[in-house]
Formats: sequence, structure tokens, C-alpha cells
Amino acid sequence: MKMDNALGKKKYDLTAATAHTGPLEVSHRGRRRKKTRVRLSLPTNCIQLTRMSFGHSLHLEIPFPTPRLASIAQKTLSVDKELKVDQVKRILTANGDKLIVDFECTSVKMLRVSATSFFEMLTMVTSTMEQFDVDE
Amino acid sequence: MPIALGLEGSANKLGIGIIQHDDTGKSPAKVLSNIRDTYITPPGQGFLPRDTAQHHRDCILQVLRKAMKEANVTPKDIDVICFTKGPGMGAPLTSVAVVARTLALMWNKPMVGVNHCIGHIEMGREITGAGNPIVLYVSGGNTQVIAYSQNRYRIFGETLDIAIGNCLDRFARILGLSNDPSPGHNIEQYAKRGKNYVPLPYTVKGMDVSFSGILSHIESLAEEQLKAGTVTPEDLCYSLQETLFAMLVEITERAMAHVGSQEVLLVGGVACNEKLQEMMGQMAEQRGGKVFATDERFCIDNGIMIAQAGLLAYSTGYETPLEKTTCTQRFRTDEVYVAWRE
Repeated sequence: MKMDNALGKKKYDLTAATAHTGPLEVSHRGRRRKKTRVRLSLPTNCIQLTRMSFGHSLHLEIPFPTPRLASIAQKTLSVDKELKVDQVKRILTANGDKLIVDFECTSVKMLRVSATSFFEMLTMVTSTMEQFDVDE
Repeated sequence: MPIALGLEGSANKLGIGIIQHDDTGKSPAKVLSNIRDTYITPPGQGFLPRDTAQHHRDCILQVLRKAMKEANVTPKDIDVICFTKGPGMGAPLTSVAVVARTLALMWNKPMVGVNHCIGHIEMGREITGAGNPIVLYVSGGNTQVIAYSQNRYRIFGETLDIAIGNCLDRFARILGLSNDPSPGHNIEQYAKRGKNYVPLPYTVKGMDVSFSGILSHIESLAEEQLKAGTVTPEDLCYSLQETLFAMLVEITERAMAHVGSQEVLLVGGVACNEKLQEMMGQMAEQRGGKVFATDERFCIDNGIMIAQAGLLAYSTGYETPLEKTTCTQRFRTDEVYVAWRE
């Protein structure tokens, strides 16, 4: 896990697939964000505010055996809304056989709490799939 | 012959049951399996949402496997997946709902979100055969007197603060009684050995009851007098039961008189208590009525009652769409439209 402090914003990247190659590189849905951002004359704080309103983000890409299972996970986990909507934003999408999760939180603590809670439910989904899936 | 899978986890019991209905209406429902795993805390401790949810997550898949094996069913045989939508504790409820959703999507089955209280009522009616009783639903989380009217289970009387089971459980903690198999069970055993009745506040308020005052009072009594030796824990348990159950008998009798019913159905964990059944029986007999109760398999929270209520709803064409399969901590008994009764 690398803490990115270069832009005054912390970014935690847990994906095994996307390796952190430098402090200014952040992965965003598989697309590399342009480095040109930091060369702009505007203070980086402004840019960061327009891009990420909550300040602390987490991007996850979780591989599933098949697109069908990734889609089931996405549908299942999207039903429950976050409790503190003013402090936590969570977006789930299924992209092929990957479940993509994006968190944006107003504090490190909220990010930790939401992510932990999410992982608890995610492991329920994956264990259930492991033990009870039927062959289609 | 539809088959329903029911998953329950609103408090500290994780229950999974599989039930089969005879849709020709000739035979009663068949319990194919009913497995339960209870989260028991050390003496003096209650159960908290986070640890309870963890317990449910740790054992649910094992219990599910056991339930399906005992019922001898495969995913293909199941027609509908029922789960507790509420009321109850948030994280435990959601942990179970997430599993239910995953199963429903993998196996391509419809879902029904069930009201926990209605689950108790419908299982009680099914097992005992009570036609149209006054229902006394008493557990750790709920205390309600319910009667059926015009497609809803109407609440006639209820607790104004805490549930009776909550009162009993918290007193058991003060005494340091074991939570195995349940604190209420151990209070009942102690009460059987009680000899002296200690007067306690009696708080019936019209059709309703309140327990928090009695709890505070008996907690301070225990604090002062147990050490001094002027009263024994057995006496306190005995006195507490006598007072609390008398209050329940009163509000149940009031509902019976109001509705004109001759039947009382006891459901919920506290309904297992034989003293309560005895006291209610005495009242009912005096009125020429009858008390119905089930054993601990169905009284205490279980999965089969969720399957039962869910299948009844499903058979009327009711289904919960995926986006509505959330859980809610507050879910009133009269919010459910009981389409399966006249």
C-alpha cells in the first residue's frame, strides 16, 4: 500500500493488478490519469476538489472466475446503501470478470470503516459462491 | 408442492429452515429441516451487533449445508428464498440478506423479505392449528399483543420501552447467570426454587406495559439485598417472573375481551417459559378459552418460520424485487398486507 502525498491527497491502491510506479501515478478504472495535471499553474488543491469532493479515496479491482459471478456480486452488494451518505460514497460496477469498487470518504477513519465493512460482506458473497454455485 | 428456504438472523440466533407446502391444501405444511446456531456470550455479557454479525457470517454457510442435506434438497428443488427483512439488529440482518441475495441470483430464484414477527405468528398458527387467536408475541426484542383484522396483524398492546425478554436477560446478567442455553431459561430454573415473593412495581398502562422501571427497581434491590442476605437470587427471579407474567396475562385478557376471542397463541422466545404458559392457561380456563404454544424448536427464533411466512406470501403472488431486499431495524407488524388470509 502506498501513501500518495504528492498532491496533498491520500490514495490507497490495493489492486494487485495495477502496480504503483510513482507518486503521481494513480489508477482510475484502469486508465492512467494524466500527469499534466500537476503541471498546471492552478494550485493542486483546487483541481483535487473538483475531481474528488470527499478527499480520501480507494479503488479496488476484484477478479472473479467469470463475468456472471462478478455481475452477481455487483448486484448483491449494491443493494445496501452506505449509512453515512454525507461522508461516504461507494460506487460498484462490474467490468467483465472484475468487480470495480470506488470509495470516496471525508476522512481516513470513514474510509477504513467503510472498506472493512465492505470486505466483510464481499467475503460472504465469495464464500457463498465458492460453496453453493451450480453449474450453468 | 412448493418448497421454501428460510434464513433468519435478526438477533443472536442464526436459523435456516426448509419447508414444503401442499398446494392442494389437503395436508399441513411439512418441515423438511430446521437448523439453528446460537451465539452465546459469557455470563454477565449481552450480545452486541458487530460480534453477532460476525458469528452469523462464520456459521451461516455450514448451517445452510446442514439444512439442505437434512431436507435432502438441491438448489433445483427450492422455489423461493425467504429471509428476515426486519425488525432486528442491523449488521446481523444484512449479513444474512447478502447470502440470501447471492443464492437467489446464482440459482435464479425469487426472493421474499419476511417480517420477523409475522414469521413467529404464522409458524405458531401452522404448528398449533389455532384458527384466529389473540397472539402474545414475547421475546428479547419484542413484546406485542396482536389480533388479526382485515388483512393485517394489528397491534393491540405492546411494551412502551424494552421487551420482556430484554428485561429478563439484563437481570440475568446482574445475577451473573449463564447465557447457555439462554439467560431466560436459567432465570426460569432459578424461579422454580424461589420461596419468598418480593413485591415489585406493576406497570400496566391500559393496553400496554412498561418494563424499564421494574428492571431498575429490581437491579437496585439485587444490589442492596443480595449481599445483605435478606433475599436470595431465586426469590428475585420468582418475584420478577410472577410480576412480569401477570402483567402480560392482564393485557392479553383485555385483548381477548375486546376482540371476543377464546384462543391465545404464545410465540417468541419467552413463550417457551412454562410458568408463563401456566399462568396464561389459568386465565384462559376461567374464560372458557384455550392457550396454544409451541416447543423451543419454533418458539425461539428459527429459519423455518421465515420460510413458512415467506411461502405463504409467495403463494399469493408476492415477491420482493432485488433492489428492495434491504433490511430494516424497525418494521411494524401491521405494515405487512396479509393477503393469504380472509
